[in-house]
Amino acid sequence: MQSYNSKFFSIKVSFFYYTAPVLILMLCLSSCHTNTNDIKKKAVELQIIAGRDEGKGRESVYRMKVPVNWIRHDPLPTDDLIDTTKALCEFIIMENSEKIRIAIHNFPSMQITDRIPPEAQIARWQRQFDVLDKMQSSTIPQSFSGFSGLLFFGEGIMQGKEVAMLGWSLQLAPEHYRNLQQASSPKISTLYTQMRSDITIKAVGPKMLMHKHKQDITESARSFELIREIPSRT
Amino acid sequence: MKISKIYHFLGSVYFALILIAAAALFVILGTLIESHTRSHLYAAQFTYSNPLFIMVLWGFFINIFLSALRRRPFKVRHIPFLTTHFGLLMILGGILIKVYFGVQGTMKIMEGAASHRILKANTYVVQAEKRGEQPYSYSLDKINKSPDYKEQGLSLELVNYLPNSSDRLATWIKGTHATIQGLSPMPMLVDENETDEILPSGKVQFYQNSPPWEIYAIRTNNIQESLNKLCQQGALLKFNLRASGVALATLDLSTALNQPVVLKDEHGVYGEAKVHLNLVFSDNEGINEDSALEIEAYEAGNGNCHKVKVPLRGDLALLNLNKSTPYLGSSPITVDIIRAPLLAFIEDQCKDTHMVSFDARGQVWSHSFGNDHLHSYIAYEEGFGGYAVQSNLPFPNFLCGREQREAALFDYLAVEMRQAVSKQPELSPPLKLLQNACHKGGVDFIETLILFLRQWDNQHSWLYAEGSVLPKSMEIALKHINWQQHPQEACQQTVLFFDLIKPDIDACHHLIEALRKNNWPLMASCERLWKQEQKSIVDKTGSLMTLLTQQIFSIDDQLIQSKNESERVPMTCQQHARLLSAYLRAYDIHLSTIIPMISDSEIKQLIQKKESVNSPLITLETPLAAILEEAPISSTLEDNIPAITLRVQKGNLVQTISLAYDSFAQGLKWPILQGEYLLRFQPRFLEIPYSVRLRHARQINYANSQQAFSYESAIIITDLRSHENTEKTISMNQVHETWDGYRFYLSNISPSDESSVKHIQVVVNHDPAKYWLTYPGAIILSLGIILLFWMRPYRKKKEEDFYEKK
Repeated sequence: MQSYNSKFFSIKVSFFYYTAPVLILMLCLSSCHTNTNDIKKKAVELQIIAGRDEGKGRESVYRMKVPVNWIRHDPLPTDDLIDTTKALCEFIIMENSEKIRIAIHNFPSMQITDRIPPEAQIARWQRQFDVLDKMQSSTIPQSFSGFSGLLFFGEGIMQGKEVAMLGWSLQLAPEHYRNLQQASSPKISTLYTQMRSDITIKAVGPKMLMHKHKQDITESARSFELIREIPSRT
Repeated sequence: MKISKIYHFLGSVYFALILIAAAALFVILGTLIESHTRSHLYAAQFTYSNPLFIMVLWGFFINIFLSALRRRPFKVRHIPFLTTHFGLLMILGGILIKVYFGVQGTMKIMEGAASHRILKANTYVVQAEKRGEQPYSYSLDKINKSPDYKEQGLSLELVNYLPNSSDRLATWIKGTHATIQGLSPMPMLVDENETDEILPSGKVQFYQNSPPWEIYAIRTNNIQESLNKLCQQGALLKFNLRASGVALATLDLSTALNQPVVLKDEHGVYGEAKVHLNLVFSDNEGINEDSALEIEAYEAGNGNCHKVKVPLRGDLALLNLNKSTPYLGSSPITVDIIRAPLLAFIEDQCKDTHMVSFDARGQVWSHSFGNDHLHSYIAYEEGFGGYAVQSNLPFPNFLCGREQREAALFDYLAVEMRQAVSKQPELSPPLKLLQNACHKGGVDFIETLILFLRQWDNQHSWLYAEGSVLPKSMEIALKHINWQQHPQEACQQTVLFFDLIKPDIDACHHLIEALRKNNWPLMASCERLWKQEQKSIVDKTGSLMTLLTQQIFSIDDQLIQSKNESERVPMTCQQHARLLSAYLRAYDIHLSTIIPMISDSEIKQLIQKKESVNSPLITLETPLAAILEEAPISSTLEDNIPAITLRVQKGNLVQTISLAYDSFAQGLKWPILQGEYLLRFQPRFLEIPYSVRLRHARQINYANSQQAFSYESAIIITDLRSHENTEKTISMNQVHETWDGYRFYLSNISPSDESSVKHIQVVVNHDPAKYWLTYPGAIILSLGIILLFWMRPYRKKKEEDFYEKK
């Protein structure tokens, strides 16, 4: 009886001396995890984009994350950018001799009623095609970073070439627009006019190349945002 | 002695058992209350947030602390016991600190915006905002306790408190009257659907030299019934023959709806018509675009039935749509409404107000103003000047009936065709044929074509009818028509063929049977077309007739010429017109296939331009008011909306205002004291040292489905003390926690789709002692438990070794 007790006792001792610490250590280690959500998949960099003015010193208004291999083209600092047909900034994706051009425009307005509906912008883009393949075209709603509007994807013939177009036509939410109409000083007012502008991001390029980079372009466009947070009134 | 007894009791296992029993009782009670009332708040008030439960926690703290002290003097063997108790004390200390100093609240953020303030649930403050100043919060507790509570120059007195209320926004109808800014309030009538007539509340002449509008203000439980009555009241229905314009009947719409209408022309009884009114109303859309007057007219001579639909709303409003034989063109009968224009404000049983209007030709318009949400409103001076809703008077001061609309459409068609022809496109052969003829005859091609198409359309015939008087310009053009290089024989054969099957065309379903019976040589494709299930018989017949025409033209080169070129007698203009109509049909050219579809507003602009009338835009406006009513108290406390009535005084200005609790602090702030202040009854805002900016929120669906798999939001969290930014993605099951214990949970996204800018609701929780008491306490407790096991066998072994040696 005593020998049985002694054997049982030795098993208990060995468990608490050796096995238990190992088990506890394994439990601790198993509870550690890596947040895979925050791992960056692609090398991207934050690009700062200035607003529109007469070439008297532009203020940075927007930012977006773009892959590091995109080539950026900016207008000259002295260029008059009042003409809204001129892009705030362009990105080029080059591959062999082919290229995709991504142009960012903003359209400042003084009153909410002055804004052009995104549908009109999309209709204009559709008219840029000589032949638009309606089976491959789509227009879907989009909303991010306080903007909402439409995303147009179209394929067709433009100037004799088979191209695809991916374009976002966006407007700030009316609540944001109204908040950005309340400026405390003329300098802030100028900035707020740029901040409340409508936005278009349009990528045009050869069909196959566009399909290849569609995901990157979409991710970059959806990372587009105002640098300053939009003031809110509660 | 007594103190010693208390000391030992408080540290005893008996006291521990009492506390455990008390805690268990609270937990049981809490579970039962929550399941019974479905209110976590209710259960929390009686249990977990109850001071007695907090006392039980303090009891545990004292019991554990004293039970440890009772082991004095401490020895090595007490280490596991003391470690365990120390860990427990740390955990309890952490819990008690969280109870007194912890933070829990919600934050509502819109994409693009940021916030560093949370709303603390179940707190009550009156937020007052003075013009140009930061809002100030007045605690309801303080207002309640002190009858003459004064702070920041404002005296507040709680006059009344309702534990539960229902609040709504009143727009056009307030109480017993309809109000339009600038006009006297008009009394509201209750339509109990017992009488056939609703009396107008007033008349207003909105436009000079135009008849006055009848204004109705109605409260009803059956809005559909009331709308039907309004639609019929004072409305006349006029039947005419389209081609000749001869009047067939004019009578009240209500009479026409109740009995068949006898149609009489100059020769006697023309036929009979049945009229049906289909006014479709829904709470969301108001009167929708399917609303129409539907007419079935039977010709007395041949029994032919003509179905006509007159839409009452939308782009096709008031046009007479031929529903029985659309492929033959317009219906031979026209139906028009003549009435006095009216504007009605109708309050339904849900207290929503629907603004409905009928114009002088029966076109209807509606706009709904929900009592809990408004699509838009006007805030004067950011709310300090009050709120209002506006609506434009929907109809202009000129007539926009069927005739005006048809004329506007033909004008529009002419302009479009002129623009198209000016670019010199390759015209289709029949148009080219007519264009050449017009050119030779020196008449305008577009004008001639449209005149011809209109006349042909009015004939209700597949091909141009025999014996019709041609428009002058058309006659000139047809005299110069040259069929050389055009399939004249195919046109001839088409004319002959359709003359032969005319009776079958009139009875549309007989056509395919007639073709089968006569062994039509190209039957296979006709049968294929007829078997298309998704098409109605009417549509199939139209397509079949086009196909038949094209089949004849496709075998043009195989057709045997009816007569030699030399034997042919010169054709009359009417015969040319018939051949041309067959040629146009082969290319599917008919007024019904080329008439443009333009919006109602564009049609009105065209009519206005044509009539050269000035129609000023009249905007109606009414102030917005909040209506509060007492509601029964719900046992689910979360559902209750408390309301207060406050007497607010500043200097000599005194005003009493009632406010409902705005639990998300997102609603309107109401002006008071002549617009000097804005007030809102809401939870207390609490500032946290982190600002959360929402980049975007989205719903992630299961692959190839619209079913939500998860919701996530990309946020930027800025530590306001160090200005350090952290980019994070939070989702339903992925919480973000800062180094100092602030936890951010995503609790809601609205809307879940991408239709507009999204809002998210984030629950923010802060446990100040978590990292230096609760978690270390848990580790120490675990260590103590291990030591309890580890030291016991160690101690026993030592004791046994000692006895063995002994």
